[in-house]
Amino acid sequence: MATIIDKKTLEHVATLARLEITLEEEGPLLGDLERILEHVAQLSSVDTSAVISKRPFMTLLRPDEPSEGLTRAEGLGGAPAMRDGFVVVKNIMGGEDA
Amino acid sequence: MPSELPRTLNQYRLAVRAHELSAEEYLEETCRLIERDDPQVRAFLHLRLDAARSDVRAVDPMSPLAGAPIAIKDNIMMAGERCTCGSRILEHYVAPYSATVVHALIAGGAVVVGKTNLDEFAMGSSTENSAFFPTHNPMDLTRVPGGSSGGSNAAVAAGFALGAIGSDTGGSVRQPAAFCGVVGFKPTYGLVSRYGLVAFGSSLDCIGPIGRSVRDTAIMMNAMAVHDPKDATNVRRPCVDFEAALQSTLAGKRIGIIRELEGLEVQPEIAASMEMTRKAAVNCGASVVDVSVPHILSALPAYYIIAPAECSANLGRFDGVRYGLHEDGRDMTETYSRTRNAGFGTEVKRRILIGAFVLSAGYYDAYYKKATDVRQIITDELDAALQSADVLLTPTTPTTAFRIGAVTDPLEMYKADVFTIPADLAGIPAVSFPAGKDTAGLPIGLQLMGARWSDAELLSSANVLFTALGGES
Repeated sequence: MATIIDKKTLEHVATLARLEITLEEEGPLLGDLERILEHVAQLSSVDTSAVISKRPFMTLLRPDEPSEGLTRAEGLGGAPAMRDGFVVVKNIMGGEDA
Repeated sequence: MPSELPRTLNQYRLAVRAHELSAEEYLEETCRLIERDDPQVRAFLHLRLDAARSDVRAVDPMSPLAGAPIAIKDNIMMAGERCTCGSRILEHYVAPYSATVVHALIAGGAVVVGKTNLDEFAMGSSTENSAFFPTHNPMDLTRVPGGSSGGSNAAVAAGFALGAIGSDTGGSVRQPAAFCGVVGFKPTYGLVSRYGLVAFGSSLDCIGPIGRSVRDTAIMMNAMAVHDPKDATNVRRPCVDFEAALQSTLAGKRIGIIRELEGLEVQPEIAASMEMTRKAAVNCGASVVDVSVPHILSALPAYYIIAPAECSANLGRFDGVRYGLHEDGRDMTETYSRTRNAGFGTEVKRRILIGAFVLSAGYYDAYYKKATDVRQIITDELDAALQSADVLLTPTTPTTAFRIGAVTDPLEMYKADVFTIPADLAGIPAVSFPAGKDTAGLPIGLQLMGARWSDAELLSSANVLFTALGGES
């Protein structure tokens, strides 16, 4: 039987998910994912042609009125690196970091 | 102080109000118990006993919760306290604000003793997936407490708290309640605010109370079920007094037994407990009816597509930039992947990868779309079944608590949730209550599911059965 997920697909999905998979992890992960996906693939036998989704399409939002919330320092306090009230990130446009 | 300490939140509250017991004294006893027994049980990731001692002095003994010590799962935020979600990626994260339910419980007079252990990001059924250490079942320390709210349930079972809160995405409040011999309630989706809960599966996540009696969970619900404009999924409902709604009879109630679940293999003592509870229901005035939910066994595979899909999206926020762990890479992309690789454990990675797979181009329709359609079918079928029955009775789990380390296959672990997942998919309320013990003396839990927004009636039915089987009224 053809496999659902091969090494190449795993690498692609890992890139999408921003996860690095080490060589040691790859074998066991492929085995586990294949078995899990095989198990969930049993849904293909359910006839869903007549299903009408009843889930709401809209998110109910509260009125857009200013109220007290977190201060900037509280909101950003968990960031690993800060400078002058801003979160520090790597240079994303190429070139040297400032 | 009375010679025997109260066993339940309700008894505690009565004793404090009658001046037979002070909240300070009771907290001191609780702290002693935690210091003595938690090194073996390991229910807590962080304790705040000194802060609790200071908080209890300011509590009004006439308040609804009267200074009762409670425990909070460590994926629910309390301002100034760490909130790790059982993950290395948030090991040093300190919550900048409190969840609405935490505010509400404290406003109701509860005192928080600590944050409890969980499977990393609530993904697991044994609390063995915590990045820090496994929690042990207080009923038998060689066994798991269930999960993912294993710490909260173990804390209540061990007497470290009179109540606790957990989160339930696929059964994470109810399954460990069954394993630990306590009551765990998952409310209707949208009844309790999730503001301040770290998101796992947003269309499924619910916060629910854990107590030593059904009445205790009703008392906690009275504080927790407040409308919250900060949670867009929280629905404004007429105010309900969950405790006052507890009746002493099941007269006129129809207890449904789901035909399709009867063929499932469960531990013989659990099947016997189902039979005993059926009889108890009839003795309490209920009738037992046979109902059909034809696609209920498709709930497990549907869940293990939908929950990973939602988790892969929700956990995208952990990138080493805005909070938590940071592992430097050559560029942003490498920084993201290094941080996430170092910060997430195996099960979390597995689920993120499954989620990314089922949402990716070429697979979306076959997996994710299919699962959401099947979810709708199961929801419609459960809604229909709950027209011909008032509540549905099932086991909470196929087995009692298993030994630590005994289940290593992820797919086998997922199957522990077979009875609890349908209520999460359908957004209906469900409660697990203790219903006897197996031959090894381990607690058995049974589950009642009810119609959407029938939370108070559901707890009432559960309370009648729980007390008929010998539980505290």
